[in-house]
Amino acid sequence: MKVLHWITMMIFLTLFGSFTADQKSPIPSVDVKSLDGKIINTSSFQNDGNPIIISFWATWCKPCIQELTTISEVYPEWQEETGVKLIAISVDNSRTSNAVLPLVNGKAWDYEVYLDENSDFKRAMGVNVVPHTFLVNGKGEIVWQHTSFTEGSELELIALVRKLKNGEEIPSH
Amino acid sequence: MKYILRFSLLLFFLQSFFFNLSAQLLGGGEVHGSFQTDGQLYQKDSVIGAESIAEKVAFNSFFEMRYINKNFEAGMRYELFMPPMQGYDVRWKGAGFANKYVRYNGEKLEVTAGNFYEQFGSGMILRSYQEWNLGFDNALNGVRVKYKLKGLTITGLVAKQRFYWDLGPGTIRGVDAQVSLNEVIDKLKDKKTRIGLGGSFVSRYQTDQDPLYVLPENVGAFAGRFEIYRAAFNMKFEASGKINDPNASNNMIYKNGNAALLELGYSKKGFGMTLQAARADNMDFRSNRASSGFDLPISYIPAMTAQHAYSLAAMYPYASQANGQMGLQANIFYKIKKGKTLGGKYGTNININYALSQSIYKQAINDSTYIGQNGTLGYETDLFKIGEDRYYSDFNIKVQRKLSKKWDVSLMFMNVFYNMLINEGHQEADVHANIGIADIWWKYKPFNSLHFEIQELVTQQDQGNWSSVMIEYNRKGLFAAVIALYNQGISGQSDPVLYPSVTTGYTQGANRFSLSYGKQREGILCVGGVCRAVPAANGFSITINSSF
Repeated sequence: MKVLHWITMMIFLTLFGSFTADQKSPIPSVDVKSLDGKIINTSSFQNDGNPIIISFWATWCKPCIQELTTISEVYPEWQEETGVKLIAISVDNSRTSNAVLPLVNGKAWDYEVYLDENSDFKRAMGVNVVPHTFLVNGKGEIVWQHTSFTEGSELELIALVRKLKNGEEIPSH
Repeated sequence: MKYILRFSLLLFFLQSFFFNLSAQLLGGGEVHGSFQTDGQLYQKDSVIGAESIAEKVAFNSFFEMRYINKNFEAGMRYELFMPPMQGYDVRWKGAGFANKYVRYNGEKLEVTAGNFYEQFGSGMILRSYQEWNLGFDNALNGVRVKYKLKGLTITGLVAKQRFYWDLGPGTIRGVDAQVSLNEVIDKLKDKKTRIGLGGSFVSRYQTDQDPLYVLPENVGAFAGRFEIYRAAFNMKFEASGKINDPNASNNMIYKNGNAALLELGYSKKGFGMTLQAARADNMDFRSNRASSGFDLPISYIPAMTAQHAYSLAAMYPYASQANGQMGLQANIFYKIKKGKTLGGKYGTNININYALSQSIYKQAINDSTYIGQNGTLGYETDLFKIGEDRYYSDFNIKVQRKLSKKWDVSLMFMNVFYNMLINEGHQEADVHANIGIADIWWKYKPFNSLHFEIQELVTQQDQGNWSSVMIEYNRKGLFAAVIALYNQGISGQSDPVLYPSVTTGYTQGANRFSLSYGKQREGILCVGGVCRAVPAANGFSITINSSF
């Protein structure tokens, strides 16, 4: 068994070594649930060639709520200027997921929100702590990611969205 | 030495072989992954009962990688607990590739072999999941097939469950179907009402070697669910049952189990609410009937209570009782619009939450049998009768208002009742506590903020009153926080204890590094722009997190 472990590890190291780190990748294909019960595959996320922000959050995560509340105040202007769409992925499990819909409406957020109750999409995206935010370019490729939200994070985010909108390259971190 | 050399050569050849293989056969694809390391240097402290450990330093660490190429995916996770940090089960001790899988992810068909996670419905009869920071993983190890048609997903699986570095003894077989009626029936396609249906069956096989009892070797559990959405309204109902399954958690009774959950919601822009009612009776279902605690659960019946992110609000959390509980929960979110008298310049957010959990009604089956007697049918019950014992209640209200561009204030009040015997398993006075919290942000210039958090918990029971003060500074990715947690104790019973700690760190992209020193209670910690569960600690601790 030990040998098998080594071999599998080698396969991975080799594969890892043979691809460049700054490679752009599509959104993985996982099923999530919309707030009106529709099953949606994440690989179908699209925004007519405009950038997409994917934000992982939870109802019990204070910085996540801060991030989404802060952005909601400027979201109409962001959309008008760049055509960006924010997709908020709740990682609440079935204990707290019942609070997602009333919270989203209670706070009058205008985002596309999906439930990822058993963390399938969270795992597929390698998210370990929330909030964790990804930027997807107009071609549907993930080009940037960031964890945590602090004062001013939203300004850095929109600056990158503007670059994407203008077709500029952005650093992966 | 010779052996090592040969081995390295072999590895080198293997590596080049796979390099070519990957380049030619697979033709591209991507690799992604993440890792986390937590290290803790322990210092002895007799006051808070912290022990120093023989190894002095403990590490919990994982490294996870996924390879995706079109429809093909493979992944693995290496884990290391050397030794596990305090607060984690000692059976985690060790290291190795704990999670490995290969997957074909086609348009209609998805096949996974190896380790995987799955949840049927809300998880009432099957949920496998992982919570790294809580030291929980009941991954399934076997084969899963999903077949997807328009509006219909059928899932079938055969597996054993992960049990630390081993597998549980029981074999789990499960099947689930999820239907979206609006997509399946053309007539309903454009209707405003959306209806979803689902059903599942799960069976556990475990040999009976009991010297005393004749036990069912195959235990079946079944569940059905229904959900309907129309404009601002929604309703969900889910019910499940399980055949007799004498086990360690129910004191070997032969009673069947059942559970039900009803949820009603109404929400529109600016206002949202949900009401829930749930009941569970003898529904503890595991892949080893001798297990208890956090070991090998198949069913997931969560606590129907709020999950709090402030340390003192989270001090007395409810422990869900899958073998008998009846609960209610109401959750209301409301935004007072800006410009109104109470709304302020930016609007005011209000959240009111109430949760109650009671015992279920139980009656002896006859005069010569006591309630819950082993080897019998246990007890008789009534679906709609509430038991006399209160297990838990939580009333809390949160008000948040942005006062100006620079100031943001949240206030919270909470009243909690906590049954000691049910939640902690020992005979002590039940806890009645009131908690007040003020959470203030001062964004004094762009990219810079100061955060003040003041919490007070007042109770006459358990360890008495607690106070907590935190000051946190954030500047772009950099953060630093000082936390002072103080327990007054109860005069004549326990002495006051201070838990001081400092924590600092830096985040860049999806990489994060943090360092703490001091005494810390276990619980949820939200600093530096993220929230995570942390173990009790005394001394230095370090955390590194990265995703790529």
